[in-house]
Amino acid sequence: MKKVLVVDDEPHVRRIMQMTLQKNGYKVLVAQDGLAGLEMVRKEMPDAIVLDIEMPRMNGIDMCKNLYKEFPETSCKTFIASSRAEDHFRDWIEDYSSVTFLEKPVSVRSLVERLAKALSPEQNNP
Amino acid sequence: MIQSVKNKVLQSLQKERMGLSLVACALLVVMGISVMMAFYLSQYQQTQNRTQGLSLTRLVAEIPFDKLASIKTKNTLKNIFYSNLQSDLAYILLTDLSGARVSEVSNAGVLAPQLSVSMEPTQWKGERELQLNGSTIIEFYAPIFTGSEHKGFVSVGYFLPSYLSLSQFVPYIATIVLPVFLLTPIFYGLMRREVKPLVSAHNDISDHFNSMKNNPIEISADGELSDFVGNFNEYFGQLRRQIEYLEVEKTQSQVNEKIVAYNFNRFEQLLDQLPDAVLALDELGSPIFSNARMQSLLHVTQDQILNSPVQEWCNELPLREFVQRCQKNGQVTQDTLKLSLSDGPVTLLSVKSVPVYDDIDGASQFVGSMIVMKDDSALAQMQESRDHFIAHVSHELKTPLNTLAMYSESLLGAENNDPEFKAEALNVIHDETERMSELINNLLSITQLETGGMNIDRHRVKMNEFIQDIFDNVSKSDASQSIDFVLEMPSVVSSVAIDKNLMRIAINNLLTNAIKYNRENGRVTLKVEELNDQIKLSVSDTGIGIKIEDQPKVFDKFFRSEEEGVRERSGHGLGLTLTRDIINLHGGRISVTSEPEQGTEFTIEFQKESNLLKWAS
Repeated sequence: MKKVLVVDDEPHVRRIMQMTLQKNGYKVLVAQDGLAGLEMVRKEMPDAIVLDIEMPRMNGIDMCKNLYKEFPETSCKTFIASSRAEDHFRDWIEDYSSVTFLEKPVSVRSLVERLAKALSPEQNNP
Repeated sequence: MIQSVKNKVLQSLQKERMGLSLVACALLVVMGISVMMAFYLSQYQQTQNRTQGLSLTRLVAEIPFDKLASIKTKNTLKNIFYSNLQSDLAYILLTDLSGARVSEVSNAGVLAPQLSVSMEPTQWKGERELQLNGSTIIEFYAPIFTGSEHKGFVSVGYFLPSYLSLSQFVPYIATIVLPVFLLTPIFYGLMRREVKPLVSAHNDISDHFNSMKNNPIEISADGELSDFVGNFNEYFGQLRRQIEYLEVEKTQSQVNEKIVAYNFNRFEQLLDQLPDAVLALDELGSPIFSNARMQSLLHVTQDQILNSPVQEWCNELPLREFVQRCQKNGQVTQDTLKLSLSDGPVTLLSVKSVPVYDDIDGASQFVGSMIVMKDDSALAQMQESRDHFIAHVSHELKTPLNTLAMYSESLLGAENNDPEFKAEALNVIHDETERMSELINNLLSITQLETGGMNIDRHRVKMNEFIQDIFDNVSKSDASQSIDFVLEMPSVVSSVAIDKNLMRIAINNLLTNAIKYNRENGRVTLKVEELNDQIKLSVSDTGIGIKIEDQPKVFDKFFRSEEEGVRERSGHGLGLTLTRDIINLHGGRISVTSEPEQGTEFTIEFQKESNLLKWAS
């Protein structure tokens, strides 16, 4: 069973994502901010992360950078979602091939499809 | 009086100085001629006397001694003497070898001096000068013989001619000198006649300059001076016209100078009023003007800037480089510079340099540059604040919208038929819709308040009823189930003039925050106090409190603490901003005191009546 980590400071978002992804056959881990998310990764490396940007303590961008710096060989895919349109919220992604940007509001169905595609065996073993 | 006479005499002498000079010269010439003639005649007389003396001595010496000494012929010496009496002959003396006087003939009052001659034959003949009765005598002597026998000596004395003795020549000298002396005034008269036109011209010019009249001067003259005077008149006419032209030019120039100075001062004052900094450079790039804004912007004085290289008065490298660039190229140049003036916040300076050309001798020539600097910091800050605000609003709206989209999409999906999930989803959708609605209402209210679009609508409100109503509504809401509510309010509080709706929003915000950030089974206290002309209202809770460093920021738009306790609770950071704006609109003030983990107290103080109403009453 593939593991997906949902990191968001909005409890309702964590809840609906957890429910939806569990129904689609994923094991779902949740964290309320970047720092908690990074701790979770260290304990149990997920196959994919659904990440919000604006969170207290540590934002999604810093968590993502720390993650790939700490685990450079990881195959973990990250979907980072934000409502912010400014360039500096998006430009950094170009340096990370495993990171995909999602525009808020996020469609849960679309997210499930993207996750399925990203975690499919063909994608991982081309 | 004496002074006046003296002045007149001096003036007359001054006028006749040429005649006086001429007379003086004539006198000098006459004196010179006289002295020279006297000297010449004196020398001539001496030579004559010496020649006569030598001849007479030789003549007497050739007569035999015995003949001269003989009684019979003793008149021979007298005859010789008297035949030469017309000359300066003083005496003739005949002595024997013993020196005894044998015969002597002399002028009246003259005693021939004793002759003593050495017996050495070479010394027998000669001449000598003697002083006799105050006169100088030149004496010639020679031996005298009878046959070949030396018998004695003869001496002949002559008066040396004195200058007094020259008086006999006065008529002769006068004959030569007098014509010279007499010709002098005639010559002077003729000369005066010739220079009369020049004197007249001199007087006219003097009169002209003394009277400062612009009467043209015309001098007339005949004869040889007519050409000279004609040229003089023409030259003087040209000179006069040139002076008149220069005087007109000078007056015009002075007027123009005053007009230019006046206009320049006005122009300077005008430039000093500009909100933008202005710096003018000459064609060589040297600063020639800066306005007041330029000086205040860079904290320098006009004197420091003028004619000084930019590196001497400007510490800002980007601005220095821009000015140096403008000094070189003489083209329109513009840029936006970021400066840290006086170590203050970054100043955003829009700078533009425009070359200035002037029409010189029909050709357009570069005469300098005008640099205008506009401080766009406030504009940039405003722009940045606006962008920030829009980004925040967008985020705050999209966050509940994201939740709404997710839950509604799940509800619509065929896979979610679980009634429990449906109930949960509907609740979430309801809460998030409320949240969005509250956000939008707060945003609209704040925008209206900050743009002046909302006017305060004061009405007299019974404070007891008003507060009780708010308190009841909040304390009975679903969110307040586990909170202990306390209202401390005097039984009678004066009515106040407030905008009821706005004040309700403000107090409501404080109470809902006190509930939201409280602990389970915590307490919320609403306390009302009536002061002299003010109402003091405080809302305190026993909640999570606010970090000390966050306390000054709690009224900032969109501020939310990073604390976990805050993030766990929904909110958009506009409630306290709106509350502060409403209290400010009522002329009141709001403050906060908080102890982390202990609780927070917000205090509002506002006037019972508006200042306007108080003044009216």
